[in-house]
Amino acid sequence: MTGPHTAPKIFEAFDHSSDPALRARHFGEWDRLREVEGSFGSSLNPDRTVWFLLRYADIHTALQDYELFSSSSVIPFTDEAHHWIPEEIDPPEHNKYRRILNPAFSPQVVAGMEGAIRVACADLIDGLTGAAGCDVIADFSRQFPTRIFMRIMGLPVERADELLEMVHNLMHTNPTDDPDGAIRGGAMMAIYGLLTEIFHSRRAAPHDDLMTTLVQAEVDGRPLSDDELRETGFLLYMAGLDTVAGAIGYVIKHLAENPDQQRAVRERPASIPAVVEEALRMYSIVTTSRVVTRDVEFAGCPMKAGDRIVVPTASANRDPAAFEDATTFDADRTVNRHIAFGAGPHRCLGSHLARAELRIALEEWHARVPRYRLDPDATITEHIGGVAGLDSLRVTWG
Amino acid sequence: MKIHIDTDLCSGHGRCYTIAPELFDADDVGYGVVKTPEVPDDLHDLARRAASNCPELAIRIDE
Repeated sequence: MTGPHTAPKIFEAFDHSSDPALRARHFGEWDRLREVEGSFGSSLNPDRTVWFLLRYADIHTALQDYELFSSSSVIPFTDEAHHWIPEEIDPPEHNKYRRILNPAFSPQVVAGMEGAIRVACADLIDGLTGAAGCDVIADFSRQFPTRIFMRIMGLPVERADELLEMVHNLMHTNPTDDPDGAIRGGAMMAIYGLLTEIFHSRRAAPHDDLMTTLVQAEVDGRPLSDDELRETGFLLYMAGLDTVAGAIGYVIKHLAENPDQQRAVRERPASIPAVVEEALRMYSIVTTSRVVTRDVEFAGCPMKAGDRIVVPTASANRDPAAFEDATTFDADRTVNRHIAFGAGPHRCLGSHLARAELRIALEEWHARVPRYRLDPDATITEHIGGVAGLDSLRVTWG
Repeated sequence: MKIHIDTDLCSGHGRCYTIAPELFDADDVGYGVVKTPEVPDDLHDLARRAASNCPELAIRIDE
């Protein structure tokens, strides 16, 4: 649990979303950094040190210890004015908001949506098999969860492309491409505008959707304020439209590169839930952040109140100290305590939905497409930030 | 063998009732609850497996 005896290094300008080595090698680079550094700091922001924790044990402890590591901001390097709900609220306040949202994402509600999820998934895939191949990201992995999530939220499905573009600009723009933050800021304002419009319309005319649940909900005996509605809607929007999309990309890429495992999935659909768990572990997409609440030495790092920690779940879940043969994809492992959905009170609200979507995606994909492999002429690039994903994934059939 | 969930630690990952539905259940929003506190002999391994897959280490087993 404690770090190495040597003091952790401080890298002057390290930011995971723009670091060239991470962008080039991603999971392998987290592995290398964990092995070589264990923990390290970044002095990119002169006002604070941003500490990167890379070991499973440290990340797990940090995520559970919400008093030492506050969620009051999950953006490590810059100061942003938002206050996302429930992600950027600590217990006990957190539970007042989480309580409103939990029922919509319970395992029972997700089970009731299974049929609709499967139909949406099958429709999309059937549209792809006529050609010689497809871009898994643009044609499938971004489309599928988006359609489901928009329906749950009550977002206008006919505006799916516009909504996806807003998320893309917000989440996948790195500081190098957007030095003054204009692209990200513009996307955020556009999303807030759309959400406000829908909240107003649901107040006037309730629907059977989550946006209506939110305008009717109460905290401490009063309705949510307009600000609270926007902050909640925005968080759900980001979390729901971008995450499963990223996860599907990585697991399809893995199976395209490993034809034996691809065949096993096709021949034994019952193995898919275990494949999903192992893919969640090996290719975890979320890197979140916390605020240090008091001076402390943690993971060998001399932290000051106000510093930040960055915790890449990918690094935790590939730590050989926590998983046997950590970098081997083994769907048969019997102990898989991965924290792809986080740990502690902020455990991903949508995890039951995400697991169902991933399982159904793999079931329908392998029931409907022929053998597939990576298109040898295509280059694969990734975005790495709060949520990682492939920018494109060209596969060809056969 | 007895099994117990620490409700302060459980955050609703749902691994226990997915892996061992004979022993655990979901409450109405997905947090784990113990269904069979006294584990029958033939389910001891399953109970251990559920405990060892809990990301919060929230399941205690008293053998």
